[in-house]
Amino acid sequence: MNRLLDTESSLLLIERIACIGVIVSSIEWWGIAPQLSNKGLFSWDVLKLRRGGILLGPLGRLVDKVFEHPVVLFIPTARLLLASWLVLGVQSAVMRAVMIAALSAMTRLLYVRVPLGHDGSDQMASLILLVSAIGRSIPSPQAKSFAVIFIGLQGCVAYAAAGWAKRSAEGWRSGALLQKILTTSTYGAPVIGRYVGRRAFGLLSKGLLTWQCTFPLVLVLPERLAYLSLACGVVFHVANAALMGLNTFVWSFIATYPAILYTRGVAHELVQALWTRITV
Amino acid sequence: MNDIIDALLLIFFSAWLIATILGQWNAASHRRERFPWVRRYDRFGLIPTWTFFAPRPATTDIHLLYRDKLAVGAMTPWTEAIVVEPRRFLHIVWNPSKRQRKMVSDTVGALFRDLSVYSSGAKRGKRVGPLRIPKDFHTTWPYLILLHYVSSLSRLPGCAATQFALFRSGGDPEEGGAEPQPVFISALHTL
Repeated sequence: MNRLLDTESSLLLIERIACIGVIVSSIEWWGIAPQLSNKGLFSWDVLKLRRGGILLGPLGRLVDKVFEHPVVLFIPTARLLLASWLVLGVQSAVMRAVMIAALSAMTRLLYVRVPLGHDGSDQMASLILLVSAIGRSIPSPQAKSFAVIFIGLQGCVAYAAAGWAKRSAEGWRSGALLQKILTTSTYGAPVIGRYVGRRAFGLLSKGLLTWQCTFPLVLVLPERLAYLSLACGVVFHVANAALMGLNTFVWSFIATYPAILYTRGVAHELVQALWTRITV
Repeated sequence: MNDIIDALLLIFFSAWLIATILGQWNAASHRRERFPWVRRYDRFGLIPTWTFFAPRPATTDIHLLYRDKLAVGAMTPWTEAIVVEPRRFLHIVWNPSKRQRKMVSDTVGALFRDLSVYSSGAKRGKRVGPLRIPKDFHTTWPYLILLHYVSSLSRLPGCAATQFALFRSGGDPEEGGAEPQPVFISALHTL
């Protein structure tokens, strides 16, 4: 048995960590609630004009009623309540499946109401909730296992894609782009440039690219190296939260780690079974 | 029966994963789009974009500013509509202002994409610059989002019209950073 946790325990842990991120995100939406009003940046009056399509008639009036401030605040409220309940623990399998599906639907609804302004942590949280809801809803013994493996592989693809896309730019390889990003006010702090030299940015950038590009190897590396790679991930996300303000990435990306470890276990079992078959 | 469900589920997740991997080539591509059909058929936004800050990240700050035309005809000075909050240690756990910042960043990105479409559609030899607004451009969605926001801000009585601008600041820190430069100025709109 190469798996640290069984399927159900892995899925529970993934959901709980992702739900902590949903709780933080929902409270943050409440923190900027006035911006969802018709005088705010996320005004439904103007966001509904996307693609020039406005729903008319009774359905349009209903959508307007639901998406206008303050009624729209039911979305972050429902997300907050559902996620809190899921973190605290719902024992019934049916109830948990229903709540995860409801939380996933609320998260999708938020995307419909506010199509812009979401980041990668929202993408990952939304994906985890949807896949988890599918895994829990389908009456098959393998459904949950497939869901966990899918989340684990998406985590690996996420890091590798970010790494390989950066690798194609000379500025990333030299560290110049990392320095420029971290010295903006939006995703860093201008003061960082005063204390960290270009050479240090170059080393940091090379290290980041190497770690991200080779991240999927975590599935086949020896146990200690796999844990070391995941520990680098934790440090990376905490540093991003502190330096870049990307706080919710910590929860939604670390939520994939139990899935990555589970997938790693399954991969090792498959290799062992194959080896036994060949050698016996 | 369970075997059939498992097989269908395996096909579904495998197809989703392959589509995700192919979808990353579009986002990471410098030049032409590869596998554009992946995102074209992604009606429900199921294909994530994992190529964060790559290959060409934003390396400058964009500021949304506005100014009003008073009824007497004078213009007020440019004022920042959304002030970027300085980085604080608390942001490690709590950072609600990132939503506004990302909303402005996404809207500005969409505005410049629309602007390039308008520019490419302009008469040959008459390229439309960022400081010259093409005809009908004020009806585009990103323009309306920014205009609606600055128009809704509370202001003193006596303002007859408003306009917004996007300024770019920052740049290479070793060169001392660039002074804020206007990259887009809207028309004046009656309040």
